[in-house]
Amino acid sequence: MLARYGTPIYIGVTVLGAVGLALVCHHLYGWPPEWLPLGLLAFIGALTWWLPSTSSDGLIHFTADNVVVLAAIPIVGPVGAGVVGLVMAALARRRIALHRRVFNMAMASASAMVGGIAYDLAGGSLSVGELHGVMPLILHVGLPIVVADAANLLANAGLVAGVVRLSAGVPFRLQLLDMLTSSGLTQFAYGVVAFVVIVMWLPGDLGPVAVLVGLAPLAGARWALLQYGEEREARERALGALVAAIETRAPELEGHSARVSAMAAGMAQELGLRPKEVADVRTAGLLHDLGTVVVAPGQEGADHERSAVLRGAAMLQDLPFLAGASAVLEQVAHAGPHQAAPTLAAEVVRVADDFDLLMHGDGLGPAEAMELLRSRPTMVEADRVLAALSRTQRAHDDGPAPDPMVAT
Amino acid sequence: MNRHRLESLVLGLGALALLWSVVSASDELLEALGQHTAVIVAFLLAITVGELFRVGMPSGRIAAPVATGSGIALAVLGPVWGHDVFDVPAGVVTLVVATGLGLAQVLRAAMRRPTQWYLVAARTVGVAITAALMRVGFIDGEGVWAWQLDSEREAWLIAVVMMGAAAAGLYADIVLTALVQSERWELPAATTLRDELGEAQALTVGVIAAGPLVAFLAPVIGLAALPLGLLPMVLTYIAVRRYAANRATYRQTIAALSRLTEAAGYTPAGHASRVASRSVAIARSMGLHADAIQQLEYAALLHDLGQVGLRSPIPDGATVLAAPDDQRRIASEGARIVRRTEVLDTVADLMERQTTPFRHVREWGEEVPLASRIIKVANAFDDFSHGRADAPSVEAALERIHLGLGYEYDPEVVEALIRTIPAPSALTLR
Repeated sequence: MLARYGTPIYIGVTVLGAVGLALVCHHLYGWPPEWLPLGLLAFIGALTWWLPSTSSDGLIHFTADNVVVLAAIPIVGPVGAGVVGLVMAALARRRIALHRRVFNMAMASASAMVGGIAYDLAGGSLSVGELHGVMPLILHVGLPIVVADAANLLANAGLVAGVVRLSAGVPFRLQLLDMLTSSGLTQFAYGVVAFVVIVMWLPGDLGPVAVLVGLAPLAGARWALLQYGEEREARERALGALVAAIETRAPELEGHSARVSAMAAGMAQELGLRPKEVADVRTAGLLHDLGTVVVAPGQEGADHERSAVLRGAAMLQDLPFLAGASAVLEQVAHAGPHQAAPTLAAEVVRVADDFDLLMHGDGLGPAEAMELLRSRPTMVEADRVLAALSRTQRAHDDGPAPDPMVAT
Repeated sequence: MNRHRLESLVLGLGALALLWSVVSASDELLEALGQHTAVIVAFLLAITVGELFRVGMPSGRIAAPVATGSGIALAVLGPVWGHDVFDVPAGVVTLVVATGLGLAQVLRAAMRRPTQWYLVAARTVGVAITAALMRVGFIDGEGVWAWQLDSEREAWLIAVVMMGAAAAGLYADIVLTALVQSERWELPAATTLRDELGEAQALTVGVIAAGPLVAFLAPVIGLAALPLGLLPMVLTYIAVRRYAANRATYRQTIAALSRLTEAAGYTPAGHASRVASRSVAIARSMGLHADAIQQLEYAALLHDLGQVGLRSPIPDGATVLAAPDDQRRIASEGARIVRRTEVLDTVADLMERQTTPFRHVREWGEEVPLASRIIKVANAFDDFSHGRADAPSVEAALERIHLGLGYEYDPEVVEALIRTIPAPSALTLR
């Protein structure tokens, strides 16, 4: 029931919540004082959504819409900010299903109004044009805007994590943490830039030009961040060539690295490891056989399993961004097949590797492979690890998770 | 002396800008320093500190967004809340900025970091242009700077004029810097200019807009405008640093991949990196674009990757001595592995074509990318010289390459190869 109707019910509740917040804000603050600035802000906000703002790997976001929404709070009031969020999401150029668009509109609007209420509670002024001097502006606009920024982010991340939990099964806490930790500094900067825009727009009498003057200097940062995302994606993909090299030397391992990587990452997630550890486990799983390539032809047979893993780990040490994965591989090597692995991450990689070899190498079924692993004497937190393996295997058998609903 | 002609020219222009500043602002300099002490000290600090936080772009361009943004801001600055209107001649602005940049160089030298005075000269000239343009009185006799004091003037027009003046100065700075860099790296000036102007245009736009942002904030919040208005530049600095560092780790990944064949004993140690640096040197001397050079470098690093599929290594890993069919098989195996990444398709194409003899181009009009022809020559040079740089090894390698000139190797590439090799006397000294 929950899997089938959970998402539509959640979207309905979010829409109702946004309407309720709009009524509360209207009761507290009234209609926006002017409609022309509201239209302009909504238009500029929609434009920021039209610019490419996400790198191809989908991990690096850089969109100035938060600046516009936050600036809208003192300029056109909390209800106006809600309308700006609503219009921006409605006019998003990206083609998405209607129910997703409706969710995005409700979410953007509700987050903006939550930000508006937080701004007021933090002592924010809704008559900024009358303020003069540094301290009054910082106390009654700057600091409240930073508070509004944080509230906006929390509301946004919470709503998105909820829908991703229901539509894709990603744990709520994991998704929330991921969103909050990935955009910390940028989010704070949005708040400060919004403050700058407000100061220029109202006391500075610059009007809507303030948004352009405030946002233009971010062009370089936006460019560099998106480039960074693109290159990071390329770097991760370049690791695929290492796997291809492994499979060229050992064709019998075709597909093994990718399966171990996916299985180990799934288990790490199930076990509640931190996002960084999950990423390290994923890479370690992918490259755990690298050592088999780094050996002279004809010498493979005389090789010891442990030294092969160590050679692979040593090669990765040259790559600072793979230091974590390299450490996990070293732990796997030092443990060897007859000792307990020193960390849960290493155990996960080892179990995923063994499980895949039993399934695809020895042709055992999942139940038999699991039973064999269970009888192994040394294993760190055996029950938890095997339970995670079992759940990940089941999820894999049920097919890939549906696309998460990308909300922002 | 002739070797540093352009650098001397840029240093001379910087000195001229300073001389003009001293002469034109001598009457008002002391008065300005007394009247605007707080403003001048704040900007001096921002410029000096900003200049200490530089970042090297992948093209070699050195960006210091905080310092450059602060310099432009001072050149366009007008009213400042809580202080007198910053009504000073362009010469005073130029002297303040040059002092800040110079102080940073002294500090860099004290910290044993590299100093580049030509950068100071180019930026000084750029700021002098911006400040002078803002104060030119050709429109209403007072100069566009004075528009900031006129509440009747349209704000957007003031913003556009400020950005125009900032752009003129910043582009002058970029052009002068590119000229010096082309001379230092012995590259064609047109290529360096194209790369410098083409790379990171968004970064240039961002820096251009930072000055006007500070100038628009200052009348409302005074000197707090400086940290607030420069925050986007700080973010830019952080983002560009992350980008540049990431580009470096991407290259390290490719380099690690290239070392697979060396670690497994297929190819001699250092072969891939030597072929890559030789290829890059040849490409630069032939005026290839920065992006093309990047792809070439990756392809050169990975050119022997296909050897991991061999059952037994070829002697010394020297593909130049292998049979043509084996050469082609190794190249396509390497390309197949690299294509698995889905992001290095161009690199894979270059790798695949590196074995094609030049006569296919000459006689049958086959299209072989210049980068592939470069890798072929660089690889042959390293294989024949066994990676040694002593004169006899180099001469022997060149001799072998000359035997295949026009038939196996592209004569223009070979000519460029010779240009990248130090003179015989230098070789002997090694």
